[in-house]
Amino acid sequence: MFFKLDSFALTGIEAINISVEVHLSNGLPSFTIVGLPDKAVNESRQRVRAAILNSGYVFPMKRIIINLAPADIKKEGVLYDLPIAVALLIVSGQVKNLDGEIIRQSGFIGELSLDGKINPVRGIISMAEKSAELKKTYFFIPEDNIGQAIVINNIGIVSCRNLASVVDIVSSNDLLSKETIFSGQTAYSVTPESTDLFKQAKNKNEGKNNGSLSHGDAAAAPVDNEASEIENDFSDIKGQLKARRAMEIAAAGMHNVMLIGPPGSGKTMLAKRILSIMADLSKEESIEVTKIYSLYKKYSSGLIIKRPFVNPHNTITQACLIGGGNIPRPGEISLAHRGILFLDEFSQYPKSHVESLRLPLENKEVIISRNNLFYKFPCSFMFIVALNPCSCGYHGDEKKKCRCTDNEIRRYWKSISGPTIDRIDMRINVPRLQEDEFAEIAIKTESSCQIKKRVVACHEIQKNRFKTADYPTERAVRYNSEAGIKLINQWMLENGEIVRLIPKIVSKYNLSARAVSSLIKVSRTISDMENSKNISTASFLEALNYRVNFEYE
Amino acid sequence: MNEDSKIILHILYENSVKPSDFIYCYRKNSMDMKKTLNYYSASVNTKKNLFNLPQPVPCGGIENILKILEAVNSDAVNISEESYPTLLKEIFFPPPVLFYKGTKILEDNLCIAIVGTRKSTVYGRDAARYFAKQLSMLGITIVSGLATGIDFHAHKASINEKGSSIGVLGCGIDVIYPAENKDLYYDLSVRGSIVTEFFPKTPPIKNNFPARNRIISGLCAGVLVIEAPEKSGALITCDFAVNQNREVFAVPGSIFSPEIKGNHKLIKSGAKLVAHPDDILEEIWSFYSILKATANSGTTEAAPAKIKNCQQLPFIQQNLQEKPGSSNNFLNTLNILDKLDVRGKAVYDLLGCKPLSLEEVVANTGFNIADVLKIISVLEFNNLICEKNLNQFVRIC
Repeated sequence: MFFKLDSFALTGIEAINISVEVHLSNGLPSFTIVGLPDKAVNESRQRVRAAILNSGYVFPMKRIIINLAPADIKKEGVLYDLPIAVALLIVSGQVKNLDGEIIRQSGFIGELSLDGKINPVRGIISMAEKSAELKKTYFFIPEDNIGQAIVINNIGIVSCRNLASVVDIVSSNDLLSKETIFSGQTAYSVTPESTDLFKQAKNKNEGKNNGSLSHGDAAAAPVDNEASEIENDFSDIKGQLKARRAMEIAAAGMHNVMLIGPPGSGKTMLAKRILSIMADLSKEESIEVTKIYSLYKKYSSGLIIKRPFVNPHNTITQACLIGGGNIPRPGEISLAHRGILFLDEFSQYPKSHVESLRLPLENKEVIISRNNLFYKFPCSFMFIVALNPCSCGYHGDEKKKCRCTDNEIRRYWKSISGPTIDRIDMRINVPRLQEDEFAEIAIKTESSCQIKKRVVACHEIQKNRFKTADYPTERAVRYNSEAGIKLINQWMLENGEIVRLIPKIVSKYNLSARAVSSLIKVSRTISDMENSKNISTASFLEALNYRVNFEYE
Repeated sequence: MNEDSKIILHILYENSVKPSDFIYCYRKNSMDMKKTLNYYSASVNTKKNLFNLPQPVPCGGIENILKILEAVNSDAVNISEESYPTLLKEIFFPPPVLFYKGTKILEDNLCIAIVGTRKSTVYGRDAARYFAKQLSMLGITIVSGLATGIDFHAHKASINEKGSSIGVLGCGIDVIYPAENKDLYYDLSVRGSIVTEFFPKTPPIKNNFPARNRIISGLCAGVLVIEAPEKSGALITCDFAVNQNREVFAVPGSIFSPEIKGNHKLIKSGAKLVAHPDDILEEIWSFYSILKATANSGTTEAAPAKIKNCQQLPFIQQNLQEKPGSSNNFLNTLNILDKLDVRGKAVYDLLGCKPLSLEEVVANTGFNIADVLKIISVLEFNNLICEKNLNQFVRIC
């Protein structure tokens, strides 16, 4: 006897379709799983047996062979407990009034507990997307995963509490009526109305504060009310007017930032606060980010609304930073997707790590190949690094003397990858506070929510501009920092004065071509903040401040 | 390179005559190069090497030397020639043939050596740049050793000014040492000069450097020590300078920092403490005028003792007049200032010699930070102000 169900496997953040095939034959009772199962998949034999028995069904005492096709892709994890159990029950004839149509149109995913309960799994959002792509009508998932799966359109999500409820649903035609039977337990929706449910998911998230990732409020809420809730507020920072301004510009255009300054000048403080002035993730971004995070079981429920802020320690391994492993997992740079990757004490990172960031910074994705498969992880992040100007830390400081010799300073900067630094649009000096700035009487500082309003408005302007761009590649751009050379040239030519200024500036400050395009990108952002259509000369001159003061006197 | 130089090279290289012996002989023959050369060509076969010196350098034959010199675009000048540096002729043991690249050396301009440690501190770097720039602006040539540290900064700062710079090597003219000074080497060979007494392809071995130092001090009217620890090549240069009757200047520093102990030692033993370029000009002016007087043997120009106000020094005045940028610079500044708007002027007026931070500028002018940054960019771009320390600005024009 043979039966077949559809399920999914994860390759990176993408899901692929897997058929769970069951064959029952006479002979000595045995239970075998083939199709390159890993340990967790193999162990599902025990869970499935216990769950079937404890749900009140009979475990067939036959020769059972399960095949997970395609058989040459490694299967990992506990995703297949539910499809195996359901297939076994169907093939052994224990499901009355089986509706073949539902089975053909459905995908099944879930980890079984010994008592028949269905536990959450990883990567549900990718699999839901895949099943929508395959034009499935229903997708049976664990109840706890509903928060993530529900944002995918055009797929009916059936959240199941236990094995018995799944059997009940597949044994009848009238799926919708089941909603009343399992009132409250089954959140079934054939065509989720996207925005409403997204908001629901957001609201749900509010309740479950999930560490650093989803604290705070939904974007829909008025920004002002948030002020008191923000732990890291920009008004905590005294002085540092230039750095503040620069951080605002960086957040507005998602530009990469390098903070250079002596110890204790507030580099880390500035970097940590940038999250508080950035807009929350949009729906598409939220799905992208959640897809990555849902590869970890910790984030198996709910969407991620706040931008991620990843701050790895410099002893991190390369595989952990970039992504990798026997079965490739996203690295910290992918976990920072659509958010911030902050490398504090940048000079302490091993050179190989820093060099390996070059391609991801440029391509915005990491591709790892294993066993004939390519694992693609997106990593479009805002890159912030903080470092001291020399090894003693006080080079260029007004009061405290630098103890480094010229050679030491040169060696220090030599150890930092030039090409990686070149990919950083903005470089900002962060000097130590002067005595009078501790009291901070003369200059009033803004709070994060005031800055955030401007940043959000600036993001909006950029979104509208790129939506109406001429080329499809340009329409994919979201922020000024991602603009390609075509756009940059176009922007530059809009203002003749800048075209005249550039040769002079290049010769005075000895800039590379990439440095000039950075300048233009940053000045585009500043102009956006001023809501001017073309790049203004003034904004270009201001952008110059965030680029050239590298080798100070 | 004239024929005499070739013969001298031949004598020195092929016959392994010691350069010092050659100079001794040259002076004994009352500085007559023809006589000297005749002496050697006559006795070259009979004069056997007493010490059987090894072949000095691996450049393989006189022909090869000429080929290499041509390849690296350099030349040689011998001691009997007019263009050989006047001051260098007079030291105890001048090099018979001087290889050079870049023609600055032939101009016989007034030179000051700026020397110091390779492991320079920020203070040393700033001081070297300051003095090199100020002296160069007056048309004085800065001589140094083309090493890292103080030498590097002195060359770098002077090369952009009128006075330009001469680098003295401790290796062959075609050897770039240290390699990180490659850019500087090429800059100097175009806009200044690089000289050495060593044959091409000589590696930069330890013993060469004290010998090089005597040329540094020999070329100059005075030696300015920026930063020297207790044991330093700069102090060797000073020893030579004293023996060669040159002025020695030393910049003071912190009594606690070990990098400057040598300077204090020098000052204690009579070197002039220098806190301003005028301190140097006071001393070397008399030196320079005496020199000029003796050089132009006919005119017995009375050397003025010490002139307090250096702006009155004739050669400085002359240089100031000649300097193409100097007067224009001032006009340029006025032009730019005219073009500045009210806010630009306000920021420019606020800035002075004391470094002001951006925060102070904002507090004093009341403009917002974005505007201040724009104005600062304009001013900095037009060379009116520069960044000192982190985010602190001073007026330079």
